[in-house]
Amino acid sequence: MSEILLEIKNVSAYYQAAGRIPPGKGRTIQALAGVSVCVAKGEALGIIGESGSGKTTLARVAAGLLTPSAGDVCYDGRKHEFRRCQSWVQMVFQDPYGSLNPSLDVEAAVGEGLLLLRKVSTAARKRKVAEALAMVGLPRNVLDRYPHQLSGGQQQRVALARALVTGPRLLVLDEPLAALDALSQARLLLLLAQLKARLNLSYLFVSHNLAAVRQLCDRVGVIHAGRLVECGSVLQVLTQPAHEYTARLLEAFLWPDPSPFRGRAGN
Amino acid sequence: MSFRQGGILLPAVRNLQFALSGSEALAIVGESGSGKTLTGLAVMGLLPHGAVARGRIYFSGRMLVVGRDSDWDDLRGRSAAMVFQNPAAALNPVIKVGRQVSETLEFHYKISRKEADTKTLQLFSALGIAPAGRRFHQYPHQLSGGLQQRVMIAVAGALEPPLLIADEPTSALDLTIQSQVLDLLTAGVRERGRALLLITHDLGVVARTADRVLVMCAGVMVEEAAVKELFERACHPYTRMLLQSVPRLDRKLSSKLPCRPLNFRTASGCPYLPYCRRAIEKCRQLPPPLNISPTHRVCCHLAGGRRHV
Repeated sequence: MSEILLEIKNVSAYYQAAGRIPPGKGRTIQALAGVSVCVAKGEALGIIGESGSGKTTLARVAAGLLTPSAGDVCYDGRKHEFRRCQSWVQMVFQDPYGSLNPSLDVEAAVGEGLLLLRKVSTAARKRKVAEALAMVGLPRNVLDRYPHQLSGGQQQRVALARALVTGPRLLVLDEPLAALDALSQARLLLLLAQLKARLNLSYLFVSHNLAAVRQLCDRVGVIHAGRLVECGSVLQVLTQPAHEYTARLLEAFLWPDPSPFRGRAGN
Repeated sequence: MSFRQGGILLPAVRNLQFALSGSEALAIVGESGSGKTLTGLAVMGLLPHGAVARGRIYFSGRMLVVGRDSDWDDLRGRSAAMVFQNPAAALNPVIKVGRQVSETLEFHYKISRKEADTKTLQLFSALGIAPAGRRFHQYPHQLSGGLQQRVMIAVAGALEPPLLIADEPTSALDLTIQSQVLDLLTAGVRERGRALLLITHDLGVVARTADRVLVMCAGVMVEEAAVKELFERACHPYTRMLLQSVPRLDRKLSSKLPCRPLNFRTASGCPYLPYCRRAIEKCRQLPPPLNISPTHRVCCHLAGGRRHV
């Protein structure tokens, strides 16, 4: 068994409900109810579930962006401290355009993390930015472009480069493919798999794209209504689901294949 | 009902030609920027400003000139309607969703508001917008994405148009809701004899919903076939790459796929030319569609006689 990098123990998270609340209902909404998962070094853990199930909350907890209401988050066996860990846990968000500062060019956007988290010289920063862009397969001529001048796939690569530049050991990927078209998705998936092997990275990959999870992840956890209902190896969970909810998710999967035995809508 | 459409100039869509009949679901598949959305907008007469378009569309025998928006005035809504990708942006945020549907009914059918409201409630129940009475009085932001898209389908389908165009109708929705919305759209085709033009990049959606598929690459139709034929016997090298690039549950992605974004040829000739391993001199000119079978045509010089291109 390889070493554990991230351990989430019994984490619960509540949100204050906004707006008018019907009488008799509580003011808080529970997004996570006692979830425990761990990610080993060099391992990719997928998290699947429907909208509102708590996947994104779990991702935020793992990235240290949200302090859970109860439970512990440990990195490398030690309790999480936001400042100390931030350079080796990084996050990539669903909407690449929304997550990039529109007034920073690519060089500044990718270099910003270094500026804040690592004390390096300007020359070293420039070199590291160029390295990170090369790693994600972007040409050097994007350095002085702004987010709106890039395609969706390129924007997501910039976001990935920004996450990689501080040399993280864990990447939290929250639906990184959702805004991309089929071919860009395939390219990003292949890139993520390459990077994982090359840098011995760990991923927490949150997605509702079951096929993408199957491609990239070693293990997968299924979240339903804030609870982890199933967790196991990708092959096991996606071929012989133990929980009824997982089976329902698999049933809803749209096979890219019209063969009759897969069944079509309505018959 | 048939369409014929010449290219939209510079160089979003070139020489596109297709037909769609009632009780049929045709999917247009392609990457971002392949011209599929523009095609849908052209069919609706909703081309954006600055688009220079030429061509003709025949709608139930009536000729419409692409670019002359007045030709569409009495068609939109009643004969053809569109479901957009992002329901939250397409619905009016300050009008209750029930009213957004009943307004359409009132205006087009010249009926009283009360009658229109009753009809709307029936429509909501039929589309699974439950409880219809309460949803009727809610605003779009109070509904989940799946319900918003159902309302969008109610707005588009209110006047029973024989043609429905759906542009990425399920990309914003999660897995379990996706199949429900697709079932609603196909129900309109199977039960009401409606024609559905589905615009998507998701081959899973295509396999589940469409009868026929048209593959576009950089504004050019490269292949068109019955859905089963396309998935089993794709002829165009671009279509094959597209099929290989879909992550599946039962096998790993081929690592032979190009890792970098592709720059397709948009000026003339075959768009896939720069990447095609079997390209020949003739490929600098766009081949005319070749009929491989009655339900399968492909734009490739090397297809047909030599099947295994």
